[in-house]
Amino acid sequence: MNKTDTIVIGAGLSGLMTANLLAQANQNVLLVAKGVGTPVLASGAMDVLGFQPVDSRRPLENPLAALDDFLAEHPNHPYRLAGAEAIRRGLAALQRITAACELPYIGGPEKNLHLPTALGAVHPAALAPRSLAQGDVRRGGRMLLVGFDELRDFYPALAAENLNAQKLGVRAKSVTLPLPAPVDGKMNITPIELARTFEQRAFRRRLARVLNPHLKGFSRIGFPAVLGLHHHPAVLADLESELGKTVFEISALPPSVPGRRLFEALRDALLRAGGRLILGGEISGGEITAGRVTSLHLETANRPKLLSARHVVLATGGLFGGGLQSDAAGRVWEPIFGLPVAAPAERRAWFSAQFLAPHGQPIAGAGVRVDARLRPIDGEGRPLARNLYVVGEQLAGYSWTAGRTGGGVSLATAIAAVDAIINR
Amino acid sequence: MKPETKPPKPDALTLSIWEQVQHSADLCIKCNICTSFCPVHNVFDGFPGPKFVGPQAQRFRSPRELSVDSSLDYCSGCGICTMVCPHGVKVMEMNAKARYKLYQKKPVPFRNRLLGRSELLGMLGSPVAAIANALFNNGFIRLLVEWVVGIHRHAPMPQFSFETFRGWFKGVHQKSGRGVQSDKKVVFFHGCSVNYYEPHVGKAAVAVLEHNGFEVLVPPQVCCGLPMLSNAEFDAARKNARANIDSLVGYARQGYKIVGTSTSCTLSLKSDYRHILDITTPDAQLVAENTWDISEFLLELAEAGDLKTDFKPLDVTLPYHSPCQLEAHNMGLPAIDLLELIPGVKVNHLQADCCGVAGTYGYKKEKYDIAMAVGESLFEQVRASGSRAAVCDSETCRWQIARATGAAMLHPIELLAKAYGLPGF
Amino acid sequence: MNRLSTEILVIGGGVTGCGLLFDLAQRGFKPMLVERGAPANATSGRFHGLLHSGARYAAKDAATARECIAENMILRKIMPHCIEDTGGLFIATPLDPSDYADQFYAACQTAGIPVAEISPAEALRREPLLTPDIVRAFTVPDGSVEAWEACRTLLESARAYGAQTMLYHEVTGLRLEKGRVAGAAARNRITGAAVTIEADMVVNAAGAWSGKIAAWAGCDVTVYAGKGTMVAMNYRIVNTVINRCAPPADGDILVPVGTVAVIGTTSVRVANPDDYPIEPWEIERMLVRGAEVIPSFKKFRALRAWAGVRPLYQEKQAGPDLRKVTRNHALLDHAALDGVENFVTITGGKWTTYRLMAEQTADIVCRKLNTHRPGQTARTALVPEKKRKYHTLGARQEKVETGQASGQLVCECELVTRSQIEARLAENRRSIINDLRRDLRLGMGPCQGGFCTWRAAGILHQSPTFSAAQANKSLVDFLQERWKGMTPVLWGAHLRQMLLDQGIYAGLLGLDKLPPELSGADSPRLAEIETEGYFLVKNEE
Repeated sequence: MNKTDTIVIGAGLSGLMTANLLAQANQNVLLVAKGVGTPVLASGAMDVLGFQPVDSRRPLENPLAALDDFLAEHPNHPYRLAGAEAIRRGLAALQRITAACELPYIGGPEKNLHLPTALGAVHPAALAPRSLAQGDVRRGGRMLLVGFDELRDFYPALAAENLNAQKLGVRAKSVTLPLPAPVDGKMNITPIELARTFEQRAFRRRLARVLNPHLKGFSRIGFPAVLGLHHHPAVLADLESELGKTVFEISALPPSVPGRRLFEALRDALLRAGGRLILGGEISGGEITAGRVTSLHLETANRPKLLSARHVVLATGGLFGGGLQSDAAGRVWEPIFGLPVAAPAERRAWFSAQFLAPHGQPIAGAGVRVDARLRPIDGEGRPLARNLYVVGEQLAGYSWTAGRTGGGVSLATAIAAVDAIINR
Repeated sequence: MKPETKPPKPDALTLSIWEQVQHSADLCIKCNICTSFCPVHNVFDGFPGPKFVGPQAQRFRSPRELSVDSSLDYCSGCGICTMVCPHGVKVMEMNAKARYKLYQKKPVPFRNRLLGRSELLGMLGSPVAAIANALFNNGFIRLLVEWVVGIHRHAPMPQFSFETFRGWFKGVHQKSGRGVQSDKKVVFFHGCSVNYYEPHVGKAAVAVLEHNGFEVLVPPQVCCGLPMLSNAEFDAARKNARANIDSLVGYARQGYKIVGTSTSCTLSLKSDYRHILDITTPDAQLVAENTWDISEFLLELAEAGDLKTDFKPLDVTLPYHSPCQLEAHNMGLPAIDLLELIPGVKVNHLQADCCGVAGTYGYKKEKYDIAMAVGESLFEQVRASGSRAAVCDSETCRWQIARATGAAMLHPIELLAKAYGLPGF
Repeated sequence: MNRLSTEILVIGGGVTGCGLLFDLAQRGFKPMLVERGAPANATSGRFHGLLHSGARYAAKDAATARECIAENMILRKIMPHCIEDTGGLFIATPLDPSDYADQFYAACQTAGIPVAEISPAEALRREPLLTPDIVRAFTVPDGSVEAWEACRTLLESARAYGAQTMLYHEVTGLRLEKGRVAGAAARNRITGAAVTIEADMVVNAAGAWSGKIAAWAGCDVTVYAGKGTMVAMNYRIVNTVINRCAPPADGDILVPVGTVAVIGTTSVRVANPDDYPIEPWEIERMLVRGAEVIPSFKKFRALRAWAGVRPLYQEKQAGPDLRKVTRNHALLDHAALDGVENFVTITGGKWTTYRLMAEQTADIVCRKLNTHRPGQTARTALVPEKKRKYHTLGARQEKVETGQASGQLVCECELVTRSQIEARLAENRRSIINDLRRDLRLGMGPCQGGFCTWRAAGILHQSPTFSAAQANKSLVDFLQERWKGMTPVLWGAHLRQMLLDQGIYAGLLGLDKLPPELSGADSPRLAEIETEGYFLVKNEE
């Protein structure tokens, strides 16, 4: 029997990346997750550092150049542990893996893309799939945003008015049309359903015919992110040739189609690299004996099953992902190992008075503190287990909203954990 | 931020199983991950999706009012929603219960009652297998059946077997003295499909278990009840569930493991009796805890070094579909690791949501097209693999894939029996 | 300056004011109602939604109990579409005084409240989550009310008789002429425009604010503002109103109302009825009290907390315990009390008895105007016969399933469609998202506006009244308003919900990064505009 080298818990970005990189390094990897992770809810783009100082409303041009300033203000941020090099390598690894799945990611750590949001704000991201990246507002020119009566999540007129009011050098106009057959009149169509409809050539033809009279004078045409699910590259290329224009997508409400494309690319890459996956299986607990994780409890349909491996990576997320739990008494805990959690002491200190607080909600920064090898530590800074690593959102010291560093943290800490596991 | 040195423990108070399912709607944050992955919603607009008919509609359901949400009936019960939900919402289980309530307002159609009674069909069809099969293979008869009963003319009807598995086991196998006697005993839950349609799968299981030194016991048992459960006949399903629990619990008490080749039967024993039918007795719990899928059982033997490895190499790459009803065991895919123990075997795990048939769902006239659309991506992959055979653990999925692609469909245990070189395989 | 005149001016658009407007209009007057916000914007929309059977008061205050049961029966006839016939249970746990139950039972019988004792086992069968330690259980005809729907119905019915309503108009003073009140001055809170309203008679129905209004006429009305904090659970964990069979105390009532169950309340005297923050101990008290009745209570998700201020009228100085202050209403003719003519105050009381209060007030008005016009509201159904049935939990879902509410679902939690929103916008083109919430329940479900607020903003922007900046502003305001009610109960699943909502509005939409002049982040809330600054109209004037 092949013994498992590493068990990764969690199917978010950091877990999938860690598992992929270990499987590519010929480790026998098992990824166990209670459910599908956060990427399917997110935009699909990778934020490394979007705003510095974090309460600024001016999107950064070069995230790495601002990293030192950012770290000076956020000394406990996980970027301090991982370092700029891990950010670079993480982005490159994602580009390599997604390119192999025909979902090329464009960009790099030294130049943010300035993507338009569905509201018409600017979303600075270091990497984005080609379809999103082509919406970069700094390319200027005139863009037409296309919405559909049937799609309740995308309001291009609002986006266009907001974009124009910011004088970003791009001029946006909008048109909202009824969808052509076969989905015309389906007033509650979801983005996933529409994405699958876009995979039909006949549908795209009909749409192009309706759109053509509106296209004159525009260099780029923006759609909600529904341009195909499993056959997205072909859909995008075909639509560009049908319309004779550059076409881009804008992410709106979850479920996110670009997010699901990314999730499936990473999942398929993992399975192709020989990794195994248990989805829907909750790890309800684990034992640490003599400074090592010796077993994990998998809740199967009828009984707990003991799993063991040489290394265990916690990629279970923070309070959102379920990697941390909280209650009315103001307690915050890590449910698998009961790791110490750094969090504001009292519940009344968890929140800012503002919903959209520029520094994020204080509670969102709760997490597990780790050493330089990403191993959780006790109050004295000693590792609690030699073979346990924490990556991604569960780490203490940051909230993704402050400065927008979520994607970068997931990728950079995946790199750092893999280094720690492989070079041991 | 001050680090907590001692981790606080959550509230010790736990909810009953009934509450866990009923009120797991409380955990839903409307993220729509389930909607995104629901195979039916992905192809059929008339089904508003698991979040909509599940935790969302649950807020409008009162035990005192009749059910109003008929769109729920398009849920196929595949359980992918529960599997992908990262927040612990028991969407499928909730929907199954709500469907039961839906049919309290209107009678369960005759067609659904019929499909729910796979055992009765088997008992009627098996003794006259030749005639029954001829009838069911006749296009005109099938058209008539579709018209009168509502079972789609192209739905994948299995072939009745003249010899039932129980008949073979009690008669041919045990009387011939070939059965193994041993202190190591396992209980085999064969289910309706093995008994009436595919006795060879059961024979393979018996052969493989006996080859590994186990004595196989086949106690009295009835249909697991899942077909009735998924057709909203909870009372009938509960009756069967109780009969099976009563028959099996004595063996479980003696420490014997109950193994099955049908992933849906074993899932019923493991989970559905408790989580959907609300049978929460200690006996039900004991039977649940002592139930194993056959591949799960054999792989655990292998992990302990107790599985015989005298396999003949089989130089073959096989497409494998992991059925939803197996994924819902939440234990991974033991068949893949087990089959790859056979020298030369490579398993090509197909990445598809669901074959669409979902038990009896795809048999229904109004749902056949949905089921075929759900399965299309899987069928494409089976066809593209170029392999004449494919592997799947669940019987209705095997029939569906075979019907749609023409591939010869195998249960993993059949391959194992073959690799061991056991007589008859 | 805008000058208006009316026969009778009613100040305050709570349920009493709305009920009074209807009663007066039905008696043939031409009344006008002035309200500083939306109808039932304050106390009448900020209670736990209980239609009292009177049993809560039976042991202590038989008169109030009798009023409640009589009104309960009347409201069931005249506005059944706003009432869910949930029934009520009084349950005694081992924590409750053992002698109270018998006393309670006898008092209910005396007050004429249909009460019946059932076995603890039967109570558990009806409500499986209740504590198995129940000692005794009684059924009473409690119910739950849809407060906003009720006020809307009353106003619509009043308008049908020719009554006028001035919403979002705040009274800034009373007009006094030679010892009589002759009208009021008000200000449009959206446009800032000043209005004077002349009236033959002014009725002060301003609830916890009635002391302030009366003072403008030189009258002394002592109304204490009694804050009551409630917590809505995400889910109907009970389908019957659950009361503690014990003397009234904090958190002794759990009401299934609409899709949620509301536990309440605390009772704290506050100095200012416009400023009464919820204290953490109040939430904790509600959870503890809830868990005494339902042991798994704390496992469930609390959705929102809010507080309302009861107007508690006291003739003499009240002691510190507000529960001992009468919940009875007070009807004050200031001519007799203070020598000020044409001015009446109606205050105190409770939601369930609003109709009686309105009727008694209208009687006094008639007397003072020397006219005899008997009230008919007890006999007048407010909805046509075919709609005259109790509201049910499944009603909204049924409308969607049967295609009666077709089209795009904007708020999926509460099943609000796009056509409903567009109809509201057609009625009032300045409806902001918060108005849509009150009218349609938009954004009141588990996700607290996570998805629908964005869609509503997009739809608002498609109407010519709203510029992008105004749609953005309405979005920011609404999210902030939801935030206020969520923070007291954010932990566990609801905290996850909030983090998802942050992911949507910050991460996906970038609402926090729009320039402030576009998002209006630094401007006051739309409904609180002091001058004609923010709410500029896009395509008119």
